[in-house]
Amino acid sequence: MRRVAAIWLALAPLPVWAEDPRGPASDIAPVWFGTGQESPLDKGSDEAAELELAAFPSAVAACWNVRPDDEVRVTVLVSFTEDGRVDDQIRLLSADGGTEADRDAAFDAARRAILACQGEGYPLPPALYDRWREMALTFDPSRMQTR
Amino acid sequence: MLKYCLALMMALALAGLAAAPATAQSGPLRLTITEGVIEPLPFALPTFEAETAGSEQMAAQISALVAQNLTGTGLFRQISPDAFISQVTSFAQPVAYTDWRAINAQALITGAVTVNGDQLVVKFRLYDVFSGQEMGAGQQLVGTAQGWRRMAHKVADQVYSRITGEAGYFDSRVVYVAETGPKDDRRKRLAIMDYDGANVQYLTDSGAIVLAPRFSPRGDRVLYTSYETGFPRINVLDVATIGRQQITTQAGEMAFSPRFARDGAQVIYSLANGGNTDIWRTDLATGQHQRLTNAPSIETAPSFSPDGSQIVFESDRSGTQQLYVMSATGGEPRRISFGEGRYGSPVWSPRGDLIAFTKQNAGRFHIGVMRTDGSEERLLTASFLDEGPTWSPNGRVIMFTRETQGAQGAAALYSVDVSGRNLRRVATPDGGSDPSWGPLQP
Repeated sequence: MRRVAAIWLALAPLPVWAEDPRGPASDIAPVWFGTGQESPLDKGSDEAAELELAAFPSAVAACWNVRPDDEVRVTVLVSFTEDGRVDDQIRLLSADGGTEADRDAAFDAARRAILACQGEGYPLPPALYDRWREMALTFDPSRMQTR
Repeated sequence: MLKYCLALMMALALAGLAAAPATAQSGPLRLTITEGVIEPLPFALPTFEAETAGSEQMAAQISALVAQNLTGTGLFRQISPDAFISQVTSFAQPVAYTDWRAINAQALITGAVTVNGDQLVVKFRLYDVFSGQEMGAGQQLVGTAQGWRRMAHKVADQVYSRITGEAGYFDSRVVYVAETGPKDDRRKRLAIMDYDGANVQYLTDSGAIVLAPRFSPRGDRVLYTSYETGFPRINVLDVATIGRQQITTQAGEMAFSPRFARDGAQVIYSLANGGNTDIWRTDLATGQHQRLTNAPSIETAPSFSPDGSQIVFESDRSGTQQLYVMSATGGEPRRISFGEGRYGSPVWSPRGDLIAFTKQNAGRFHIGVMRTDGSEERLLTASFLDEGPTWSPNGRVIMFTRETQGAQGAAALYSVDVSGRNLRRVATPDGGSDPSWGPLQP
């Protein structure tokens, strides 16, 4: 049987192409309830801000690509700027289930979801910035399992 | 405003999203996301760079096969090169992440191909576009030009593994029964092929009926049932030399439905004698036989658990064909199938968590899976005749035989994801049945 030799390339990481310092442009707009319409809510009200905040997971969920039988639950720590952009590295806080490789893949998928859906920044309520400047987001696929 | 709030709350409830309470918090805001999307992950794969003159065609072939492997899983979607903003003309070129993000490429695969005489060198890198970093280290594969398909499969396996966290299955082979001719005069030969139906080689001629080939754990040998003596006998075939050895049985005995133990040194199979069929085990080196069941019913189709400690098999001891699990050394089996209909041809998943089976119920055949205790049964397919499941080396995909109805009916190989998605026909030059999926090749 013919063998294929594999050699790992010990190459330095490739430099990143000059990127827009304001962040990547994306054709994926965040998905919000009432997207594209002026909210009839009074933006100054606490209730409206709370609802905006509560809607945040749905914006990320739209970009969270789940494998049909994914069983790994990960929690990641994300910091945001005031304009709703991811501010720093997304860090893994915990991962449950699967193998180490499964957990790595689940973390990658969670990170991709947060970054891919941020667009020009998540429309989070500025009045509550102190609350959402740092979030621990848990991605739990158990309700989507098929096995 | 009240109407808007109610609509928003209803939408949130329907989406199944949980938000932290609005009370004062310590530490980061905690939110849980429970509903994502299940859709193929979009990737960009610019044609690999041809690093030597004359290697352009090879680079194009390898690029196309890597993409084909990935999209064939149903878990990935290739972005058309027409949509590319950036062109990758050199493997060493910096990645313009912004351009790839703009077309929603979540993964980017770049590569280069060098052909020097018979030597083929393939390099590739995989990037997570939205996090702007490489996933794992670049890899270089060295092989021969004739083995270009295997090189492409290996690249695809690496990409698949790095993104899904699971081992790949593209660089693997399948042994099966190639079928030609009409239903009433069908000729059957053992054949071996790549997992995707390419590179078919025939291992036997059509002089005798052959059934149920089964790969050894290392993929170097194949067990199968042959009728060349008029009675079913089990042969062990060396894949490299095509040399054969028969498992010794007594006159009047019929041996069939064999399968290797995990160590490849022992074989379990069914032995029919005097109208009764039981499961036996034979040590290939010593020829020593051991009876594992002793019942007046028909016990057949045994399959080991991956750790070698248990055997699942089918038996009609309850009055209908059902699945049972027993210790690998024999002993009292426990029934695990209790649904309507008949269950047969069980196969333990290489991951150890599921058992695949054939089910016949209400005039239809199904391929299904259940937990090893019989719980959480799920049917993945339904047709006039689906049977004989076999697992991919990573336990993600099941291949099986589907036969169409009528005098012109023919058998073909199909595969389906263990989730029930991505049902596909495997392209073989002739009809095909009884597939057995071998291990990932070294």
